[in-house]
Amino acid sequence: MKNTLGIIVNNPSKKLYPLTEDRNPITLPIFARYRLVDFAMSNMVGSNITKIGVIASDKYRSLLDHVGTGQEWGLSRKSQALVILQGAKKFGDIDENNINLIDFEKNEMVFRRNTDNNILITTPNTVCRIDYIKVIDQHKQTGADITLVATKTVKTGEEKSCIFMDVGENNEIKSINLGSKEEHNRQYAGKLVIKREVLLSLMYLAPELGEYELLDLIMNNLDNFDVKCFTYEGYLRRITTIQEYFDTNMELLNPTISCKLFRGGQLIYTKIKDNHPTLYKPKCKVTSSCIASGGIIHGHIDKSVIFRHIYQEQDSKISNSILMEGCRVGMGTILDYVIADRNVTIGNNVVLKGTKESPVILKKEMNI
Amino acid sequence: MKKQKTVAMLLAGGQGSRLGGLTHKLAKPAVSFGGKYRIIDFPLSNCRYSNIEVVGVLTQYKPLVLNSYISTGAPWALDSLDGGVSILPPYLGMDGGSWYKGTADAVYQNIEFIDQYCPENVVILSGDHIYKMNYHDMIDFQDSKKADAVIAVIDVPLKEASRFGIMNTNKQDEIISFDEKPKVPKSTKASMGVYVFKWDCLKDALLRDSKDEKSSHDFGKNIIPMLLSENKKLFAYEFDGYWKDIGTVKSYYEANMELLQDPPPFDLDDHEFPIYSNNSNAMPQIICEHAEVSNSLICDGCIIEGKIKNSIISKDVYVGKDAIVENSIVMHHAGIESGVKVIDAVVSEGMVVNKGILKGNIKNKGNADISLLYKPQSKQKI
Repeated sequence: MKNTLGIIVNNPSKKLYPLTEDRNPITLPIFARYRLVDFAMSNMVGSNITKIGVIASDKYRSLLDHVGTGQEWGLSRKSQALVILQGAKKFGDIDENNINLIDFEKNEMVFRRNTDNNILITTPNTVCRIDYIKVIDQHKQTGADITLVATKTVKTGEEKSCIFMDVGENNEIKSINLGSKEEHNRQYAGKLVIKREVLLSLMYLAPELGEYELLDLIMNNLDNFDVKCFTYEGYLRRITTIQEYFDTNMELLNPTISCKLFRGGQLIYTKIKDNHPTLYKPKCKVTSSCIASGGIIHGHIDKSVIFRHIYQEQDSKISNSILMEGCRVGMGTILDYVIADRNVTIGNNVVLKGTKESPVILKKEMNI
Repeated sequence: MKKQKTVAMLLAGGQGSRLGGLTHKLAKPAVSFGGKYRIIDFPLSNCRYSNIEVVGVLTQYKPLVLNSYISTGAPWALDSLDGGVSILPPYLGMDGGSWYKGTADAVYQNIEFIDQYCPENVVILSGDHIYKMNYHDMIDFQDSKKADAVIAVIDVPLKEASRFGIMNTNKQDEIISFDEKPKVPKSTKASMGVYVFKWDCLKDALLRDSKDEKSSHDFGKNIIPMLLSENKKLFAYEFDGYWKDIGTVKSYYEANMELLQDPPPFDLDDHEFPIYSNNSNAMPQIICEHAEVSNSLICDGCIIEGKIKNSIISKDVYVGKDAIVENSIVMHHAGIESGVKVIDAVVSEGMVVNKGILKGNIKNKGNADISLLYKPQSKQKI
């Protein structure tokens, strides 16, 4: 889309710990072959936004490794570009709604020199497939300074840290608050479009006001700007806690839901790997599961999300679990409600049982 | 153009008419194999593994799928600065032009392409074999023997030898004579269709062959016998790995099914020597609640609700409830609707089977009668 620059900020939230011990949440692996940033980037690319900046702060090795030159998203072309911008945030600094202007100030030159009228800013912690063309069209039509993307309110149990709005007819925002104390009908979805000059003026104002949170600045100055709301009605899940992460993975095992997200229309791209097709051995038994390529399956798998390159030995049983890339599961082992990070090796006859509310989490490269 | 020691020419223009409906819409090297691969992935991955930087792909028959599949060569890491992959269809010149009349003629028409790189060696490959090979071993062998040409050979059972081009060698592996599909084979060294030539020797032979009106301009039938008759030094390089010629539907089916053996004679799970392919993005496969899967290879994008046994299922395939797929190959974007039975069959790309029982019959071992299902005008199912 002409005249729009896409910016993906990151959310160094502590709530996904220990899955985010070694990585920024932006590259949290999800649903067998994706990472959170894939959704943010693919949605932008699918909406013809071809200049994308990703703010990398703290623990960004996996980000650089994953996005590379943006080749898989068609961004490594002369006409289209992916830029990694230096961020300022430290890990665990802040909570998840956050779009911090210090990150933008560090890259002030990028925004000053840029000639695009609108800047689309998104946090990567949502799983959705959104057509930003509609958002930007509405933004242009209404002439708003800022358009916040929101979903209709649903109860999530994480109300305290969410931003709620009361939206009237013509998409105008009557009130906006952190937490669900006051009357509301929309929930902020972590994405917004802002006019470039408004962003720049807020960047220059921020030090004077002593406030660097873009959302707080908007909330406190609602009367000074023309702020509108765009209501997104498709599938959207926030990933800010282990519980939300686990539930979203499990929910996507239902093909009718995952097809809505991955089939038809804009594809969700991710880094490609040259794995062989998954090999199901004669004695395996697999049901209600999602499995990525490169795996060799000998045992039982039920209601689980299995990433690439898993090796599972005979007589083992994996249920209600998430196993990330490169995990190995030994003979006779039983896993129930387990989240195993990358390259975890679990030996023979191990029994690990968690619960739906608190799954057992195995850290990266653990040996059990 | 930067000088390159080795240039590979990959013959990918053949129709492969014995593959019947499989090559109805695409060239043989573009036929899908092992679920996610296409046959051309194997020679291209070999080129990558052998660090060959320049690969010319000679296309002629139905090249569209192949062209878009090869793209820039990036999937095989062949998008190099100095060369990379070039797709070479026949072209017109000052004196007109013609279709490629044979394998040798195809290379002859691209002498200028090869000359750009001033190579020492030219590797001639074909796009219809499944194998993993480091061509550099052959080039080293050629250097050590100071040979004009080296032909890769594989030991085949004597009773099958009459299906191949057979090299008769002396104890030093020097080729004495060559018999194309001999009725009474004198040796069991079958040509694999992989040649390494000294470029000056090959170029000279191609130029002379092009003037011979009786010649059918084929490497096996004309160029090799010609070089032998001139007492050039030709050596046989014995290859002892897995090699399979995908000539017929039967051999295609068998080579696919061999991937399911335990252990498989051809290992796809090889981290040292991975087979690259042009992957497209598809969601991970979902095996649904009442599905049963055993001894099968399944690719990304599949949604499986039925029963799969001893089968190879390509990308984005849907298998409905109570459907049964057994001993079969189902290619990209195909759909097997609820209640359908597919047994001993090959279902081609984009085909949707919505009712009935589809069964080939295997009369006895090694004599498979495969039911082949293809769509003359294939439509993609989403």
